[in-house]
Amino acid sequence: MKTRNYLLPYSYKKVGMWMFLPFAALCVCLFFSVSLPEIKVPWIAIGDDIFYKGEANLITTLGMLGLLVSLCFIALSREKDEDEMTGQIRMQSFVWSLWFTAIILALGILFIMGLDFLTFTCAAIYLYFLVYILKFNLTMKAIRREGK
Amino acid sequence: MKNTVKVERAIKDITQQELAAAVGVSRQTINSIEAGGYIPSGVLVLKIARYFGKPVESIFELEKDD
Repeated sequence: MKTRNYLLPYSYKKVGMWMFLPFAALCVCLFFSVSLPEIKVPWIAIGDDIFYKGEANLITTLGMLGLLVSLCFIALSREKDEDEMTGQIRMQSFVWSLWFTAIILALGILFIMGLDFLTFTCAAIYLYFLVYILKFNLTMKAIRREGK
Repeated sequence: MKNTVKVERAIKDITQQELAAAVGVSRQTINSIEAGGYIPSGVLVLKIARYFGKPVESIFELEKDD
C-alpha cells in the first residue's frame, strides 16, 4: 500500500535556494525599514470595512510572497534519497519547529506591544519555516556524516 | 528493538548500499537500523526479512522496554 505524500520533486529545493537569497535580502530590508523604491499598484484585498480597495506596494508584496514561495520550495521538496527515515526526521523537525515557534510567539505576546507586535507576528510565520529547514537539514547532515 | 541485520549482511557478504538498493531505502537508513538509531516500519522489516530469506523474528527482536 502506498501512502500519499505531498512533497515537491527534489529540483524545487534548488530553485527555492536560489530564490531565497534575493527575497530574504529584500525582506530583511523591509523588516529594518530600509528605504526602498515604491511601486504602487491598484489592489483589492480583504481589509478595512471587509474590502480594501486601494493601492499596494509591489516591492513589499512580491518580496514577502517570493520569500514564502522560496521557503515552501526548500521545506516541502523531496530529498535526493527520500525514504521512510527521512519522513520520520521530517515529522520530528515539524514538531520541534512548531514548539520552538510557539515559545517565541508566547514570549512575543507577553513582551512585545503596539505595532511592533504586528511586525513580529509576520516574522514568526517565516520563522516556523526557517527553524524547520534548519532543524531538518542539520539532522540529515548529521545522519549522512554518521553513515560515512 | 534489537536486530541482526549487520550479521545477516556479513553472512550474505553484501554492502549496506546493496541491501539499501534491494529494499528501496538509502544507505544511511540501513546504517541507522544497524546502529539501533532508527526503528524501521513494518513494511521495511518485512522487506529485509524477505531479502535474507528468514522469518522476521530471527532478524528483529523486541527489547524489554519496547
